[in-house]
Order: sequence, then C-alpha cells, then structure tokens
Amino acid sequence: MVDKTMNRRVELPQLDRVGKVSAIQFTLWIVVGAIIISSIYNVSPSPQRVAEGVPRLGSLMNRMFPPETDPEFLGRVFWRLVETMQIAIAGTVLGVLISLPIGWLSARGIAPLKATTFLFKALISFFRTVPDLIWALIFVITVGLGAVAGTMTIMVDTIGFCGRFFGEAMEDADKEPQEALEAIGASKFSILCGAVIPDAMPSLINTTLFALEKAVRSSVVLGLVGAGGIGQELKSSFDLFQYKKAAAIMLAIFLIVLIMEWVTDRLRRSIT
Amino acid sequence: MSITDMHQDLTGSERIAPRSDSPHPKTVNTSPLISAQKLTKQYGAAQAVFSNLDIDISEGETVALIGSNGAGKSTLLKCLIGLLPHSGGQVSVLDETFSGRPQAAQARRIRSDIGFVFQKHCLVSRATALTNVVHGMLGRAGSWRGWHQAIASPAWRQSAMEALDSVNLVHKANERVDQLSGGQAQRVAIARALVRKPKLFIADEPAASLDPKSGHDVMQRFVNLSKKNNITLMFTSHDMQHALQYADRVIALKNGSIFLDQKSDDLTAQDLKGVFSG
Repeated sequence: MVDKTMNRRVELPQLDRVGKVSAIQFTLWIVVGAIIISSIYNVSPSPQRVAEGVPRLGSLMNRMFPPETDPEFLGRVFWRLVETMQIAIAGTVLGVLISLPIGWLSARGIAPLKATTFLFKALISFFRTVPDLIWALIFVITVGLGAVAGTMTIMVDTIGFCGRFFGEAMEDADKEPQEALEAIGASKFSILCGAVIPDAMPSLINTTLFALEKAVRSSVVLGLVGAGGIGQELKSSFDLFQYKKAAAIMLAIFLIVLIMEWVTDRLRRSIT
Repeated sequence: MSITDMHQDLTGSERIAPRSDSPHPKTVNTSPLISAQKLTKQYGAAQAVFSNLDIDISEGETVALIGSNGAGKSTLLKCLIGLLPHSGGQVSVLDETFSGRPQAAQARRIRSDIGFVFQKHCLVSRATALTNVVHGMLGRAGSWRGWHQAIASPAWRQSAMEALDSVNLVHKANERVDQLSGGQAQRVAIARALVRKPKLFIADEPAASLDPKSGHDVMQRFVNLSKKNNITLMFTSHDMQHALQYADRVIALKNGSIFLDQKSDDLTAQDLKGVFSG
C-alpha cells in the first residue's frame, strides 16, 4: 500500500482470519460436540416414532373435543383457578420480600459483610437448582397436601430466581451516588434504601413480574403432586380418562397464562 | 437559624460577575480548620503521590487546589478529611487529629460537619431533587428518615426545601434528577451538601462536567453560599480562571510538592501557567 501523504510504501501486518486455537480449546470443542451428538442420538425422537405418534395424537384430540361445558364443572374449575392464582401471588410476594434481604446480603460491594456474599449466593443457587416439583414433593410431605404446600414451593422457587437477579441488579446500581452517601457517613443499610434500591427499581420490578409469570405457570403443574391448584383437577381428569374435562382445564390454563403475560407485559412497559 | 435566613438574598438569579463585584468581601478568620504536617501519600512501593506537605486552611477561607491531571489534587483532598488514609504525617481537621486513617467514631464526627460536592453530581438519578437533598441528612441520628422525602421529618423537609431555594431550584423539587440539566443537577448536589449545615465544603472538580456558562453559574452560587454562611470551601480545579476568580487562595500541586501557595489577588493567569507546564 502506498501512503499518499508520505508517498512511500507502508508494510501492513498480516492478520490471521481466525484466532489461534490452543490444544485445550480444540479438545473442549470436540468434547462438547460429542456430548451434543450423543444426546441427540440417544434421546431425541426418531422419525419412525413421531410418525407412529401422530395417529394416537389425533385419537386423543378426538376424545378431548369438544371440551366439557357443564356449568357445575366449569364453576369448580373457576375456583381452582382462583386458588392457583392465589398460590402464585402469595408465593411470589412472600418470595420477593425474602429475596430483597437475601439479594442484598449476596451482592458484592453492597452487602454489609463481604463474608456473607458467598454464603447467600450459595443458598440462592441451592434454591434455584432444586426443581419446583421436588420442592412441592418436600412440602407436601412436611406441611401436607393442598395449597399451602404450593405457596411454599412458589416462595422458595421465587427466592431462587429473584434472589439472584435482585443481587445482580444491586451490584449493577450506579456506584457514584453510593460513594457520595458513604462519604457523608450513611450506613450500608441507608445506602441500600436511599440509593441502591431506587436505582435498581426498574430491574427489581421487571424481575418480580417475570417471577409472577413463572409462578403462574409453575402453580398450574404443582397440583400434579398434590400441592393444590388447578393441576390437581387436571391430573384427576387424565387419571379418570375424562379428556373433555382435561381439554376444558387446559384451555382455562392457557387463557389465564395468556392474560397474566399480557398484564405483566403492559406493566413492564409502563414502568421501564 | 434556618438556611432561608442565611441565604435569603441568594434566591434570585445571579449573574456571573467579576469577583470584585461580589457582595461578600474576602474576610478570612485565622483559626485553622484544617492543618496538615508532613503529609505524605504513597501507594505501595510506587513513587509518592505527594510528600511532606504542610498546609493550613483557616475557617471561612475559599481555597482552590489546582494541578495537572494526576498531580494528586483529589487524593490530597481525600487525605485531608480522612476519606483516604495517608502514608505519613498528621492531619487535624474540624478539631480531630489523626495519623493514617481516623478512627470510626472520629470519621463519623468529621463527616457530619462536611458537605461534599463531586465532579459528577453523584445524585440518585431516579429520585426527585427533594429526595436527593433529604439524602444529605443520612449519617445523622434517625437517618432512616433521610431515605426518601416522603418519610422525612417536617423539619428535614423544610431544611431541604430551603436548601433548594438557596440554589434557586424550589420549582424543580418534585422533578426527577435525570430530567434536570447538568448545571441544575450540580446545584441540587450543592443543596444536598448545604442541608447538612456543614462547617466545611469539600468539592472535587465541581464544575468540570459542565459547560463554561453553567460551570461559572455553579461556582458563583457555591462560593456565595460558602461566604454567606462562613463555610470553609476547598475545591479542586484544573480551570485557572475558576481558581483565580472564586478562591481567596490558590494552592498548586506539582511533582508531589506544593508548587505555589498564594492569595489569588496576588496571582495572574501567567503565574499559574507554570503549574501545568512540563
């Protein structure tokens, strides 16, 4: 290349098209590829099995439609849906309230003690990694069948979800106001309430709304293991081969989840 | 005495005026508010940021601390009030004497009498101007009421409104800070510092993030408020004009030492050029 201003040739460096790959990176790629291929090969549906399933699906649909419209049954479904929503709302609210202090204690640079951050991060990870159905089984055994077990399940599940994102939102909050308040002698708790939470508020609300959406979906299936809500009705309908009733319940669930997503989406847009 | 009583003549719009027109003549009390002896700051084995500095700041003085980038202005400011530990020497500030870092109780006493203003306004952007001024009360007893204006005591709210009035921003009290201009936000930051009724204002490049006009406006208000209330003001700046126009005294740092320490009246821009030259 000729440098026009200096009128002399400039030697430009030749850059590699692809970055250098170390032996360890190459081995990791091979291992990841092998895991993906073996997973697909072992547990993915074969075209033959899918083809065999289609007529059975058609038969099931035939037995499901038209859905049950008996007013007495629909009334029972309605009250079960109300209970489902109550489980979701109570569980989410309790979970969010507990997540706030836990998120704070797990947030690096925000928590009052450095030592607590690791402990509370680990606790939140534990709550998050155990699936909600397992929590439901544990609470059904400990507090008995019904909605209370469902509420406790949603609460723990919400702590696992919100605790992590609340902590991260607090860590990401603008540091400058925090430093300014620290300089005038404000306590860590006052800094949290005066500067961190107001700054992280859109993120906290967003996370809470996602948690509520998630809780509504979770509370629907908790009844399958006896933790109250509409899932219990759905399970007994399938167990008794009452597919038209099951179809009505599934439509009701679809409707309630759709409404919930619409409401939370509107709220999110109005807040952020 | 309320803040309103103290600043009632500052609520009107103030024009940027030469210092000689200032309604507050330079009357300087001689009792030292800050005194540093042989002050040294060093990070690890690196070259000292500054060493063996002797500085006395009297009550009521307005002092500009100038120097090129990296000269150690902000570090010196923080060391003088115990926000950063110093490596050698001794500091006395607001009747508290310490070496290295002040004890926790000492630090609380020192901070309770200082109003801070930073280069960026450092306000909670999603909170209103009033809430941000109320935040100035944090660090005091019962300070949970300083989290938000809605739960602040009537006396604190009144003080916060008076502080906003003194920077001519009462009409913006209920507006979120992120809706304000840079100059207005910095004035809110001054009100937050003022609401504490401090003995000492510490300002780190208070006008650096503002355009020249807003910068002068903020500095003019800041200095007027300090003078009116006999609050000692120490500010860092890399703007020679600000140093000469608004300070009683200019201290220049260069190569880790005090290059110049003189009354601003005795200085010209030409004198200060040496501060920034290689």
